[in-house]
Amino acid sequence: MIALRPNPAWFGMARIAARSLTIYRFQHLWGFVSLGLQLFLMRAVWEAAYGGRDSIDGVAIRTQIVFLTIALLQGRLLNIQIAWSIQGQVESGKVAIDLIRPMGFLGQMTAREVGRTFRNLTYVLSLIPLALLLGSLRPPDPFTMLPYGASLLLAYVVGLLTWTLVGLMSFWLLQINAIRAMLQMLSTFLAGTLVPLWFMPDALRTVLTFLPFQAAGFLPAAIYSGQVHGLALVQPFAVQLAWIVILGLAVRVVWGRAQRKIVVQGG
Amino acid sequence: MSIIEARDLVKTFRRTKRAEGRFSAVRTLFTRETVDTKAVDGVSFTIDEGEIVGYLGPNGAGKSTTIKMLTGILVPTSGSATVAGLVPWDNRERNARNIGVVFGQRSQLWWDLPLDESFQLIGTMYQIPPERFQANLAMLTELLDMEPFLQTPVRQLSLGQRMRGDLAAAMLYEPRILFLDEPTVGLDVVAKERMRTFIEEINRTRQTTVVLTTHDLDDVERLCRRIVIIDHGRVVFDGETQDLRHRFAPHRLLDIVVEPGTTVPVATLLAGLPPGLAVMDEREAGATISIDPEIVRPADAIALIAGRVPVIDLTVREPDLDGIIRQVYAAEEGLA
Repeated sequence: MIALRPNPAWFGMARIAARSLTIYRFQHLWGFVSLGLQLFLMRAVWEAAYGGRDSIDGVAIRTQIVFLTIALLQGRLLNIQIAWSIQGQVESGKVAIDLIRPMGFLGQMTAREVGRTFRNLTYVLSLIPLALLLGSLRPPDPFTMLPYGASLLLAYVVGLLTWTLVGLMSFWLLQINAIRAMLQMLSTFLAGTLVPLWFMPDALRTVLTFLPFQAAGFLPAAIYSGQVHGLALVQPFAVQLAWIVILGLAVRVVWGRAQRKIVVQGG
Repeated sequence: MSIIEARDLVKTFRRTKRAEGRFSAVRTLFTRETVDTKAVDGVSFTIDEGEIVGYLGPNGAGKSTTIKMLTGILVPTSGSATVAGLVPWDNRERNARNIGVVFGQRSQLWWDLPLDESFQLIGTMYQIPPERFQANLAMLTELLDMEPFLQTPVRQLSLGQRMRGDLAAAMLYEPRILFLDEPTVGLDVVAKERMRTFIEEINRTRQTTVVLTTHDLDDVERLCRRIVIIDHGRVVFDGETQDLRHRFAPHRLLDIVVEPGTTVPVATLLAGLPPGLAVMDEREAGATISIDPEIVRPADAIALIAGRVPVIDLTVREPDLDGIIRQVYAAEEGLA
């Protein structure tokens, strides 16, 4: 099972993963620039789409921009690459090395992912002042920030578990590029953070309630932009927690089987 | 006291059978037919604490698969094993603390970062007390002469330096057992020698048990008193290295090069050699002769041949490991 025990080995692994990523300075800088660019383009596109109107279908442009800005910023944190890491280790046979370490395999993969997220957090935090200055982001108030923070954390766990499950498929299929690419594309759309869920047809919206993607993206952004508040907050949290239980159990079962399927590629 | 026990280990790999003929690529997608390959087929042995054992066999014999079961990476299809009292694949994380593993073809170091950072992480992962870590690192740095490249990113290290780094990484937490899977593959003579000296040293000073797979007979000769040979997934020899030589390859090989322009064929010149000498191979410019040292002393053999043939150069060598293993296996087939 995913070992989220706070042991020093785990932090060491997360730290070294972040270090490996920041060592290439150009790539590091590019991560920062590209996020700024995305923020700018998104705003330009939606302002053009609204064409001077204040609201469409009862959604004010201001709410829309705040929602999409927070969705973009948090998207960097919720962009989880663990499936890719797992496949890489399996395909190259490096999984052999992971299995002789005194830490569980999934624990190591998770620690690396968290290390990566912390690197991304530096981009996101440094762009928040800019977003506030441009008026794309509403200054946070504590009654929104608290549930938002909690929901963001849960969204992260849902994403982590979903992509772990996808990554584990590589123990059987070896190559999961096609599945991963398809899901990656779908998930950005289905998470409701590219086009907000409220602009989607009812039928699709109903389907999405039964998929984990919105729990890993839309829900926290909706809380932040003030779409959900008061007692209604119970629902998104319940959905997220339910997904964590379901996906957690699935990961546990699949990983148990994967361990017996291990073949080390390349001798 | 035995520290490693393997009993009837079997590992079968299953893969989908590829369809042949028309539309084979499409039909392979839907086929349910599988092919089983037995990589390891009933391997048993025990290894005592403090031994250095050479685990040998031709490519594909099942060496690495056995090592991967003993290190807990692979789960065997059947059979049992204990390593320092633990079943490795059921106790991966605990087993990891008892064993050090070096794969010649793979590194456990972090590619993008200076070597030292990999060591620091290992220190954290294995929870080595700081003073102990510093002392071990200093000792290993000295013994493996790593000072000049401790701060170099791993991707910039030469193969020899990287291998030293990997050995150090495997020994930092003082494991009781060291598994080395082809640790000298691709290394030059000097680097190989350094590796061997290191293995000898840690075995002598720390009583570390070493299991070594290699294709290099010099590694075995230098380090292992005992060897286990497997082929086709089965143990075909388990005993003292000396015994193996005596039983299967007691002879030496003498390669000679004759003076250019020698008119009489080499075969004619070498006809009717005394017992203990036999011509193995003839070439236009020379020949290979096998010498049985039990019958003829190699020095006498050289004098005898040099008296008959105009030799301008010669080398004496021992039969290579693959040759011996082939003989061991042939003998085994003969008995069966």
